Amino acid sequence: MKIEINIDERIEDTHIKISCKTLTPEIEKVLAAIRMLDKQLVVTKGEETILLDVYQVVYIEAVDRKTFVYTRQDVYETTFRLYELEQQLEDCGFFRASKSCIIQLKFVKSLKTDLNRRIRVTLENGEQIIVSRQYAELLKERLGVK
Amino acid sequence: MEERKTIFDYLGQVFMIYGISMTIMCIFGIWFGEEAQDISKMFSLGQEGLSIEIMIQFLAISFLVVSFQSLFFSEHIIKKMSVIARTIWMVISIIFVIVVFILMFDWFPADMWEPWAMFLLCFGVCFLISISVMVIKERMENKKMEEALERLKRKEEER
Repeated sequence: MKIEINIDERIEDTHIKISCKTLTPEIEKVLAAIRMLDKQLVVTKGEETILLDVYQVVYIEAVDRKTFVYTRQDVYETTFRLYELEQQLEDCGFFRASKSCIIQLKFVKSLKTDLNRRIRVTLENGEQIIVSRQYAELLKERLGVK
Repeated sequence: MEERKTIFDYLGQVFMIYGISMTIMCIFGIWFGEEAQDISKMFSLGQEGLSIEIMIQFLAISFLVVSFQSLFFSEHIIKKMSVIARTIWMVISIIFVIVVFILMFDWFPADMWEPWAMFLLCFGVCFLISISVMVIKERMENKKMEEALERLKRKEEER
């Protein structure tokens, strides 16, 4: 595989071009990672592949080695692992709620302390998610209340 | 990393309860130790203080109280139970153990209603105070988190 980088001050818009014989899963993953820089998440629903604006994502959950992306209306699947998404989306206002879930702050309606120093998150759609004790401390730090 | 409860957390709680109960018992001893000396083994030394026997019994109670607390509020042992149900079961267990200690160690005559009434009154007052403190603390923490959440949301929107 050849990688060519052309740095030129005259170029106004960054242009990424991939030339390949076939679209392999590895290349698709690279493409998805590049899309992420544009705050777009490559997700699938059935046979359909969709580019989803990350700001539409309410929360992301990992279940049985699969990663599901929840928006207000739909549920999608993505090939990314949760830890990869956590790293990429931290700057977009996401926080880790548990080993299997990350949530976008702007969709959080309320936060309440729960049993054993956990936090009960109520989302705008009324859904409730528990932030485990491990991540509750980190969330409190991020909120600046610790 | 996840903060795991260690034996030192457990011992810390035990000695906190023990310390508070011993302080209260000392105050009671000073107030009416002489009067209670004849009827209660708890105040057998009158205003002189508390006997080692009673101190050990209170230490045992403290251990049992913290054990019940750990048992009913552990989600590893009891997986699905509401906070209210956990609290009720914990209080019932604690009352049961204290009653057993009262009868077993003759803390006061079991046939007199006044000490029982006093015991229930003291227990009730202590329980209400601790619940109130817990609720107030929880409300304050929730309020602080809500305010911080709004601040953070605004900050995220501005970015």
